[in-house]
Amino acid sequence: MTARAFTLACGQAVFVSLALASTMALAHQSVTHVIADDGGFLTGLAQTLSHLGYPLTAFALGLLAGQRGPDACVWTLTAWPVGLAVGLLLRVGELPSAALELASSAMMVCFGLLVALAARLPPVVVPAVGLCGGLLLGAASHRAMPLDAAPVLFALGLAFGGQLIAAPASVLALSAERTLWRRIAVRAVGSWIAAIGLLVLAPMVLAPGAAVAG
Amino acid sequence: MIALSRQALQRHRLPASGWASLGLLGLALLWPLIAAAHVESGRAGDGGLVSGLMHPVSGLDHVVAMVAVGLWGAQLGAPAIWVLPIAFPLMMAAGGVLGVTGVALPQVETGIALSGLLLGLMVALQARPPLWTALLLVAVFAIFHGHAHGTELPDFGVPILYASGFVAATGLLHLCGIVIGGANRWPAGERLIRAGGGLIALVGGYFLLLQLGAG
Repeated sequence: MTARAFTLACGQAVFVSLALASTMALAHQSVTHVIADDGGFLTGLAQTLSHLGYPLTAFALGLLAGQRGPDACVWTLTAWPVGLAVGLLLRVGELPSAALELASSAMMVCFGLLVALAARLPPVVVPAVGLCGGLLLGAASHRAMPLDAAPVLFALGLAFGGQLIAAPASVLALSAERTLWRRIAVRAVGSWIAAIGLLVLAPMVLAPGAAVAG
Repeated sequence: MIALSRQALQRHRLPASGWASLGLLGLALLWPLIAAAHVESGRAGDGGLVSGLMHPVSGLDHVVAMVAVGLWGAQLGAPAIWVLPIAFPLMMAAGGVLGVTGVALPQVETGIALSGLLLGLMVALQARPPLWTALLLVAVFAIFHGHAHGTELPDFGVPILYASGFVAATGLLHLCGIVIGGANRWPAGERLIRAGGGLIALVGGYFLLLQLGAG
Protein backbone atom coordinates (compact mmCIF):
# COMPACT_ATOMS: atom_id res chain seq x y z
CA MET A 1 0.00 0.00 0.00
CA THR A 2 1.33 3.43 -0.88
CA ALA A 3 1.80 6.23 1.63
CA ARG A 4 -1.24 7.99 0.21
CA ALA A 5 -3.36 4.87 0.60
CA PHE A 6 -2.13 4.46 4.15
CA THR A 7 -3.10 8.03 4.97
CA LEU A 8 -6.48 7.36 3.43
CA ALA A 9 -6.86 4.23 5.57
CA CYS A 10 -6.11 6.17 8.75
CA GLY A 11 -8.67 8.81 7.82
CA GLN A 12 -11.23 6.13 7.16
CA ALA A 13 -10.65 4.52 10.55
CA VAL A 14 -11.51 7.88 12.10
CA PHE A 15 -14.59 8.12 9.88
CA VAL A 16 -15.83 4.70 11.02
CA SER A 17 -15.35 5.60 14.68
CA LEU A 18 -17.27 8.81 14.18
CA ALA A 19 -20.01 7.01 12.30
CA LEU A 20 -20.54 4.46 15.04
CA ALA A 21 -20.50 7.16 17.70
CA SER A 22 -23.09 9.21 15.82
CA THR A 23 -25.39 6.24 15.34
CA MET A 24 -25.29 5.39 19.02
CA ALA A 25 -25.97 8.96 20.04
CA LEU A 26 -28.96 9.23 17.72
CA ALA A 27 -30.51 6.11 19.20
CA HIS A 28 -31.06 7.95 22.45
CA GLN A 29 -32.47 11.19 21.14
CA SER A 30 -35.66 12.14 19.39
CA VAL A 31 -35.34 13.73 15.96
CA THR A 32 -36.79 17.04 17.14
CA HIS A 33 -34.30 17.18 20.00
CA VAL A 34 -31.46 16.53 17.60
CA ILE A 35 -32.60 19.31 15.26
CA ALA A 36 -32.89 21.71 18.19
CA ASP A 37 -29.35 20.82 19.19
CA ASP A 38 -27.51 20.89 15.90
CA GLY A 39 -29.73 22.67 13.39
CA GLY A 40 -30.10 19.60 11.17
CA PHE A 41 -26.57 18.20 10.85
CA LEU A 42 -27.30 14.92 12.66
CA THR A 43 -30.66 14.62 10.92
CA GLY A 44 -28.85 14.85 7.59
CA LEU A 45 -26.35 12.28 8.83
CA ALA A 46 -29.15 9.98 9.99
CA GLN A 47 -30.85 10.36 6.62
CA THR A 48 -28.03 8.33 5.03
CA LEU A 49 -28.98 5.40 7.28
CA SER A 50 -32.75 5.80 7.14
CA HIS A 51 -33.08 4.22 3.71
CA LEU A 52 -30.99 1.19 2.79
CA GLY A 53 -30.53 2.51 -0.74
CA TYR A 54 -28.14 5.20 0.56
CA PRO A 55 -25.57 2.98 2.29
CA LEU A 56 -25.64 0.34 -0.43
CA THR A 57 -25.13 2.97 -3.15
CA ALA A 58 -22.32 4.65 -1.22
CA PHE A 59 -20.75 1.27 -0.43
CA ALA A 60 -20.80 0.23 -4.10
CA LEU A 61 -19.29 3.57 -5.16
CA GLY A 62 -16.53 3.14 -2.56
CA LEU A 63 -15.77 -0.35 -3.87
CA LEU A 64 -15.71 0.95 -7.44
CA ALA A 65 -13.27 3.71 -6.50
CA GLY A 66 -11.09 1.25 -4.54
CA GLN A 67 -10.87 -1.03 -7.56
CA ARG A 68 -9.48 1.84 -9.65
CA GLY A 69 -6.67 2.72 -7.24
CA PRO A 70 -5.70 5.39 -4.68
CA ASP A 71 -6.01 8.37 -7.03
CA ALA A 72 -9.55 7.44 -8.02
CA CYS A 73 -10.35 6.95 -4.30
CA VAL A 74 -9.12 10.39 -3.31
CA TRP A 75 -11.03 12.16 -6.07
CA THR A 76 -14.19 10.09 -5.71
CA LEU A 77 -14.28 10.58 -1.95
CA THR A 78 -14.04 14.30 -2.62
CA ALA A 79 -16.57 14.48 -5.46
CA TRP A 80 -19.24 12.22 -3.86
CA PRO A 81 -19.95 14.25 -0.68
CA VAL A 82 -19.65 17.52 -2.59
CA GLY A 83 -22.23 16.23 -5.06
CA LEU A 84 -24.58 15.18 -2.25
CA ALA A 85 -24.41 18.58 -0.53
CA VAL A 86 -24.59 20.67 -3.70
CA GLY A 87 -27.38 18.51 -5.13
CA LEU A 88 -29.46 19.06 -2.02
CA LEU A 89 -28.82 22.80 -1.92
CA LEU A 90 -29.29 23.42 -5.66
CA ARG A 91 -32.42 21.30 -5.98
CA VAL A 92 -34.16 22.21 -9.22
CA GLY A 93 -37.95 21.83 -9.35
CA GLU A 94 -40.11 19.51 -7.27
CA LEU A 95 -39.00 15.92 -7.65
CA PRO A 96 -41.59 13.14 -7.17
CA SER A 97 -41.54 11.22 -3.89
CA ALA A 98 -40.29 8.07 -5.63
CA ALA A 99 -37.24 9.91 -7.00
CA LEU A 100 -35.05 8.87 -4.08
CA GLU A 101 -35.84 5.17 -4.45
CA LEU A 102 -35.45 5.35 -8.23
CA ALA A 103 -32.15 7.21 -8.05
CA SER A 104 -30.59 5.02 -5.37
CA SER A 105 -31.69 1.70 -6.86
CA ALA A 106 -30.58 2.73 -10.38
CA MET A 107 -27.18 3.68 -8.99
CA MET A 108 -26.99 0.40 -7.05
CA VAL A 109 -27.49 -1.49 -10.32
CA CYS A 110 -24.92 0.62 -12.22
CA PHE A 111 -22.23 0.74 -9.54
CA GLY A 112 -22.79 -2.91 -8.52
CA LEU A 113 -22.46 -4.15 -12.10
CA LEU A 114 -19.32 -2.09 -12.65
CA VAL A 115 -17.81 -3.59 -9.47
CA ALA A 116 -18.88 -7.14 -10.41
CA LEU A 117 -17.35 -6.75 -13.88
CA ALA A 118 -14.25 -5.04 -12.41
CA ALA A 119 -14.73 -2.54 -15.23
CA ARG A 120 -11.47 -0.90 -16.27
CA LEU A 121 -12.83 2.63 -16.33
CA PRO A 122 -10.41 5.54 -16.79
CA PRO A 123 -9.58 6.89 -13.31
CA VAL A 124 -11.29 10.20 -14.06
CA VAL A 125 -14.63 8.53 -14.82
CA VAL A 126 -15.25 7.18 -11.32
CA PRO A 127 -15.08 10.61 -9.58
CA ALA A 128 -17.28 12.04 -12.35
CA VAL A 129 -19.80 9.26 -11.82
CA GLY A 130 -19.61 9.86 -8.06
CA LEU A 131 -20.24 13.57 -8.53
CA CYS A 132 -23.24 12.99 -10.82
CA GLY A 133 -24.62 10.30 -8.49
CA GLY A 134 -24.16 12.59 -5.49
CA LEU A 135 -25.93 15.46 -7.23
CA LEU A 136 -28.86 13.21 -8.13
CA LEU A 137 -29.16 11.58 -4.70
CA GLY A 138 -28.72 14.94 -2.95
CA ALA A 139 -31.49 16.52 -5.01
CA ALA A 140 -33.74 13.54 -4.36
CA SER A 141 -33.10 13.85 -0.61
CA HIS A 142 -34.54 17.36 -0.38
CA ARG A 143 -38.00 16.04 0.51
CA ALA A 144 -36.58 14.33 3.61
CA MET A 145 -35.27 17.60 5.07
CA PRO A 146 -37.37 18.79 8.03
CA LEU A 147 -38.83 22.28 7.63
CA ASP A 148 -37.03 23.64 10.68
CA ALA A 149 -33.62 22.29 9.71
CA ALA A 150 -30.93 24.60 8.36
CA PRO A 151 -30.36 23.49 4.73
CA VAL A 152 -26.59 23.96 4.86
CA LEU A 153 -26.21 21.93 8.06
CA PHE A 154 -28.55 19.20 6.77
CA ALA A 155 -26.53 19.10 3.51
CA LEU A 156 -23.29 18.83 5.47
CA GLY A 157 -24.73 15.97 7.53
CA LEU A 158 -25.87 14.20 4.38
CA ALA A 159 -22.47 14.62 2.75
CA PHE A 160 -20.64 13.46 5.87
CA GLY A 161 -22.88 10.41 6.16
CA GLY A 162 -22.27 9.49 2.52
CA GLN A 163 -18.54 9.83 3.09
CA LEU A 164 -18.65 7.66 6.21
CA ILE A 165 -19.92 4.71 4.18
CA ALA A 166 -18.01 5.20 0.92
CA ALA A 167 -14.62 5.72 2.57
CA PRO A 168 -14.30 2.36 4.42
CA ALA A 169 -15.61 0.57 1.33
CA SER A 170 -12.90 2.15 -0.81
CA VAL A 171 -10.21 1.09 1.67
CA LEU A 172 -11.54 -2.48 1.66
CA ALA A 173 -11.47 -2.61 -2.13
CA LEU A 174 -8.08 -0.90 -2.25
CA SER A 175 -6.53 -3.44 0.12
CA ALA A 176 -8.32 -6.27 -1.70
CA GLU A 177 -6.41 -5.49 -4.88
CA ARG A 178 -3.37 -7.26 -3.40
CA THR A 179 -4.82 -10.78 -3.52
CA LEU A 180 -6.99 -12.61 -6.00
CA TRP A 181 -9.41 -14.02 -3.44
CA ARG A 182 -10.17 -10.64 -1.98
CA ARG A 183 -10.71 -9.16 -5.43
CA ILE A 184 -13.22 -11.95 -6.08
CA ALA A 185 -14.98 -11.20 -2.78
CA VAL A 186 -15.31 -7.52 -3.73
CA ARG A 187 -16.74 -8.47 -7.13
CA ALA A 188 -19.20 -10.88 -5.49
CA VAL A 189 -20.39 -8.10 -3.17
CA GLY A 190 -20.82 -5.88 -6.23
CA SER A 191 -23.03 -8.51 -7.86
CA TRP A 192 -25.11 -8.74 -4.66
CA ILE A 193 -25.64 -4.97 -4.61
CA ALA A 194 -26.56 -4.93 -8.31
CA ALA A 195 -29.02 -7.79 -7.73
CA ILE A 196 -30.67 -5.96 -4.81
CA GLY A 197 -30.89 -2.75 -6.85
CA LEU A 198 -32.43 -4.59 -9.79
CA LEU A 199 -35.05 -6.19 -7.53
CA VAL A 200 -36.07 -2.76 -6.23
CA LEU A 201 -35.74 -0.80 -9.47
CA ALA A 202 -37.47 -3.12 -11.93
CA PRO A 203 -40.84 -3.32 -10.13
CA MET A 204 -40.89 0.49 -9.78
CA VAL A 205 -40.33 0.90 -13.52
CA LEU A 206 -42.24 -2.08 -14.89
CA ALA A 207 -45.08 -2.40 -12.35
CA PRO A 208 -45.31 0.80 -10.27
CA GLY A 209 -48.19 -0.53 -8.18
CA ALA A 210 -46.55 -3.86 -7.35
CA ALA A 211 -44.03 -2.83 -4.72
CA VAL A 212 -43.46 -0.16 -2.15
CA ALA A 213 -39.76 0.51 -2.06
CA GLY A 214 -38.17 1.19 1.29
CA MET B 1 -10.88 -11.76 -16.61
CA ILE B 2 -11.61 -15.27 -17.83
CA ALA B 3 -7.88 -15.71 -18.28
CA LEU B 4 -7.32 -16.24 -14.55
CA SER B 5 -5.82 -19.69 -14.40
CA ARG B 6 -6.05 -22.40 -11.79
CA GLN B 7 -2.34 -21.82 -11.07
CA ALA B 8 -3.00 -18.17 -10.41
CA LEU B 9 -5.73 -19.09 -7.97
CA GLN B 10 -3.54 -21.60 -6.18
CA ARG B 11 -0.72 -19.06 -5.88
CA HIS B 12 -3.17 -16.80 -4.12
CA ARG B 13 -4.53 -19.42 -1.74
CA LEU B 14 -6.52 -17.64 0.95
CA PRO B 15 -4.31 -16.88 3.98
CA ALA B 16 -5.57 -16.04 7.48
CA SER B 17 -5.47 -12.32 6.68
CA GLY B 18 -7.65 -13.03 3.65
CA TRP B 19 -10.31 -14.63 5.80
CA ALA B 20 -10.10 -11.70 8.18
CA SER B 21 -10.64 -9.30 5.29
CA LEU B 22 -13.59 -11.30 4.03
CA GLY B 23 -15.11 -11.20 7.52
CA LEU B 24 -14.53 -7.46 7.71
CA LEU B 25 -16.12 -6.98 4.31
CA GLY B 26 -19.17 -8.96 5.40
CA LEU B 27 -19.45 -7.02 8.63
CA ALA B 28 -19.13 -3.74 6.79
CA LEU B 29 -21.93 -4.75 4.48
CA LEU B 30 -24.14 -5.90 7.32
CA TRP B 31 -23.56 -2.73 9.32
CA PRO B 32 -25.92 -0.52 7.27
CA LEU B 33 -28.45 -3.38 7.14
CA ILE B 34 -28.55 -3.53 10.92
CA ALA B 35 -28.85 0.23 11.20
CA ALA B 36 -31.61 0.36 8.62
CA ALA B 37 -33.43 -2.49 10.31
CA HIS B 38 -33.62 -0.40 13.48
CA VAL B 39 -34.74 2.74 11.68
CA GLU B 40 -37.47 1.09 9.65
CA SER B 41 -38.51 -1.66 12.02
CA GLY B 42 -41.74 0.08 12.80
CA ARG B 43 -43.12 -0.34 9.32
CA ALA B 44 -43.61 -4.09 9.11
CA GLY B 45 -41.98 -6.09 11.84
CA ASP B 46 -38.44 -6.62 10.59
CA GLY B 47 -39.36 -4.93 7.31
CA GLY B 48 -38.60 -8.21 5.53
CA LEU B 49 -34.87 -8.55 6.25
CA VAL B 50 -35.16 -11.63 8.44
CA SER B 51 -37.82 -13.10 6.16
CA GLY B 52 -35.51 -12.54 3.20
CA LEU B 53 -32.59 -14.15 5.05
CA MET B 54 -34.72 -17.11 6.05
CA HIS B 55 -36.43 -17.72 2.70
CA PRO B 56 -33.51 -19.44 0.92
CA VAL B 57 -32.62 -21.51 4.00
CA SER B 58 -36.17 -22.47 4.94
CA GLY B 59 -36.58 -24.88 2.01
CA LEU B 60 -34.25 -27.86 1.65
CA ASP B 61 -34.68 -27.77 -2.13
CA HIS B 62 -33.26 -24.22 -2.22
CA VAL B 63 -30.46 -24.99 0.22
CA VAL B 64 -29.09 -28.05 -1.56
CA ALA B 65 -29.14 -26.33 -4.96
CA MET B 66 -27.27 -23.26 -3.63
CA VAL B 67 -24.65 -25.38 -1.88
CA ALA B 68 -24.31 -27.49 -5.05
CA VAL B 69 -23.48 -24.34 -7.06
CA GLY B 70 -20.62 -23.60 -4.66
CA LEU B 71 -19.42 -27.23 -4.62
CA TRP B 72 -19.47 -27.46 -8.41
CA GLY B 73 -17.65 -24.15 -8.73
CA ALA B 74 -14.97 -25.43 -6.34
CA GLN B 75 -14.65 -28.65 -8.35
CA LEU B 76 -14.36 -26.78 -11.64
CA GLY B 77 -11.78 -24.34 -10.23
CA ALA B 78 -10.98 -20.96 -11.73
CA PRO B 79 -12.65 -19.16 -13.36
CA ALA B 80 -15.92 -21.05 -12.63
CA ILE B 81 -15.35 -20.88 -8.86
CA TRP B 82 -15.97 -17.13 -8.97
CA VAL B 83 -17.92 -16.68 -12.20
CA LEU B 84 -20.81 -18.90 -11.03
CA PRO B 85 -21.36 -17.19 -7.62
CA ILE B 86 -21.08 -13.73 -9.23
CA ALA B 87 -23.46 -14.54 -12.08
CA PHE B 88 -26.01 -16.41 -9.96
CA PRO B 89 -27.30 -13.42 -7.90
CA LEU B 90 -27.71 -11.32 -11.04
CA MET B 91 -29.69 -14.01 -12.87
CA MET B 92 -31.64 -14.72 -9.69
CA ALA B 93 -32.55 -11.03 -9.54
CA ALA B 94 -33.75 -11.23 -13.15
CA GLY B 95 -35.98 -14.15 -12.12
CA GLY B 96 -37.09 -12.16 -9.08
CA VAL B 97 -38.12 -9.27 -11.33
CA LEU B 98 -40.32 -11.66 -13.32
CA GLY B 99 -41.90 -12.82 -10.06
CA VAL B 100 -42.47 -9.32 -8.70
CA THR B 101 -43.96 -8.02 -11.92
CA GLY B 102 -46.34 -10.96 -12.11
CA VAL B 103 -44.84 -12.65 -15.17
CA ALA B 104 -45.81 -16.29 -14.82
CA LEU B 105 -43.08 -18.89 -15.22
CA PRO B 106 -44.23 -22.46 -15.85
CA GLN B 107 -43.30 -25.23 -13.38
CA VAL B 108 -41.22 -23.05 -11.02
CA GLU B 109 -41.14 -25.63 -8.22
CA THR B 110 -40.31 -28.40 -10.68
CA GLY B 111 -37.45 -26.28 -12.02
CA ILE B 112 -36.11 -25.76 -8.49
CA ALA B 113 -36.29 -29.49 -7.74
CA LEU B 114 -34.63 -30.23 -11.08
CA SER B 115 -31.82 -27.79 -10.19
CA GLY B 116 -31.01 -29.84 -7.07
CA LEU B 117 -31.07 -33.08 -9.04
CA LEU B 118 -28.94 -31.91 -11.98
CA LEU B 119 -26.45 -29.79 -10.02
CA GLY B 120 -26.06 -32.66 -7.52
CA LEU B 121 -25.38 -35.04 -10.39
CA MET B 122 -22.79 -32.63 -11.82
CA VAL B 123 -20.98 -32.66 -8.49
CA ALA B 124 -21.32 -36.44 -8.03
CA LEU B 125 -20.03 -37.15 -11.53
CA GLN B 126 -17.41 -34.39 -11.28
CA ALA B 127 -18.66 -33.16 -14.64
CA ARG B 128 -16.40 -30.65 -16.39
CA PRO B 129 -18.39 -29.03 -19.20
CA PRO B 130 -17.17 -25.82 -20.91
CA LEU B 131 -17.59 -22.72 -18.78
CA TRP B 132 -20.42 -21.32 -20.90
CA THR B 133 -22.41 -24.56 -20.49
CA ALA B 134 -22.01 -24.51 -16.71
CA LEU B 135 -22.90 -20.82 -16.67
CA LEU B 136 -25.99 -21.37 -18.81
CA LEU B 137 -27.20 -24.26 -16.65
CA VAL B 138 -26.73 -22.30 -13.42
CA ALA B 139 -28.28 -19.14 -14.92
CA VAL B 140 -31.44 -20.96 -16.01
CA PHE B 141 -31.89 -22.48 -12.56
CA ALA B 142 -31.13 -19.12 -10.91
CA ILE B 143 -34.13 -17.65 -12.74
CA PHE B 144 -36.42 -20.31 -11.23
CA HIS B 145 -35.06 -19.73 -7.72
CA GLY B 146 -35.31 -15.94 -8.16
CA HIS B 147 -38.89 -16.20 -9.39
CA ALA B 148 -39.89 -18.15 -6.28
CA HIS B 149 -38.30 -15.49 -4.03
CA GLY B 150 -39.61 -12.59 -6.11
CA THR B 151 -43.27 -13.57 -5.95
CA GLU B 152 -43.14 -12.96 -2.18
CA LEU B 153 -41.42 -9.57 -2.48
CA PRO B 154 -44.49 -7.31 -2.65
CA ASP B 155 -45.86 -8.81 0.58
CA PHE B 156 -43.21 -7.11 2.70
CA GLY B 157 -43.22 -3.54 3.98
CA VAL B 158 -39.70 -2.75 2.79
CA PRO B 159 -38.85 -4.80 -0.31
CA ILE B 160 -35.22 -3.63 -0.33
CA LEU B 161 -34.71 -5.30 3.05
CA TYR B 162 -36.31 -8.55 1.87
CA ALA B 163 -34.22 -8.45 -1.34
CA SER B 164 -31.04 -7.78 0.67
CA GLY B 165 -31.84 -10.68 2.97
CA PHE B 166 -32.39 -13.29 0.32
CA VAL B 167 -29.49 -12.17 -1.89
CA ALA B 168 -27.12 -12.26 1.12
CA ALA B 169 -28.43 -15.65 2.29
CA THR B 170 -28.04 -17.10 -1.21
CA GLY B 171 -24.50 -15.76 -1.48
CA LEU B 172 -23.58 -17.19 1.91
CA LEU B 173 -24.94 -20.61 0.89
CA HIS B 174 -22.69 -20.45 -2.20
CA LEU B 175 -19.80 -19.56 0.07
CA CYS B 176 -20.58 -22.61 2.23
CA GLY B 177 -20.41 -24.78 -0.88
CA ILE B 178 -17.11 -23.20 -1.97
CA VAL B 179 -15.56 -23.62 1.48
CA ILE B 180 -16.67 -27.28 1.71
CA GLY B 181 -15.46 -27.74 -1.87
CA GLY B 182 -12.00 -26.68 -0.69
CA ALA B 183 -11.65 -30.27 0.58
CA ASN B 184 -11.44 -31.29 -3.08
CA ARG B 185 -7.65 -31.04 -2.95
CA TRP B 186 -7.40 -34.25 -0.87
CA PRO B 187 -8.44 -37.63 -2.34
CA ALA B 188 -10.68 -38.42 0.65
CA GLY B 189 -12.23 -34.96 0.47
CA GLU B 190 -12.85 -35.37 -3.24
CA ARG B 191 -14.74 -38.64 -2.62
CA LEU B 192 -16.69 -37.03 0.21
CA ILE B 193 -17.73 -34.11 -2.00
CA ARG B 194 -18.84 -36.46 -4.77
CA ALA B 195 -20.86 -38.41 -2.22
CA GLY B 196 -22.36 -35.11 -1.06
CA GLY B 197 -23.27 -34.37 -4.66
CA GLY B 198 -25.02 -37.72 -4.85
CA LEU B 199 -26.95 -36.91 -1.69
CA ILE B 200 -27.97 -33.53 -3.14
CA ALA B 201 -29.14 -35.27 -6.31
CA LEU B 202 -31.24 -37.65 -4.20
CA VAL B 203 -32.85 -34.74 -2.34
CA GLY B 204 -33.52 -32.99 -5.64
CA GLY B 205 -34.98 -36.20 -7.05
CA TYR B 206 -37.24 -36.57 -4.02
CA PHE B 207 -38.61 -33.04 -4.47
CA LEU B 208 -39.00 -33.65 -8.20
CA LEU B 209 -41.05 -36.78 -7.52
CA LEU B 210 -43.19 -34.80 -5.05
CA GLN B 211 -43.82 -32.17 -7.71
CA LEU B 212 -44.62 -34.70 -10.40
CA GLY B 213 -46.90 -36.54 -7.98
CA ALA B 214 -48.67 -33.30 -7.06
CA GLY B 215 -49.01 -32.38 -10.72
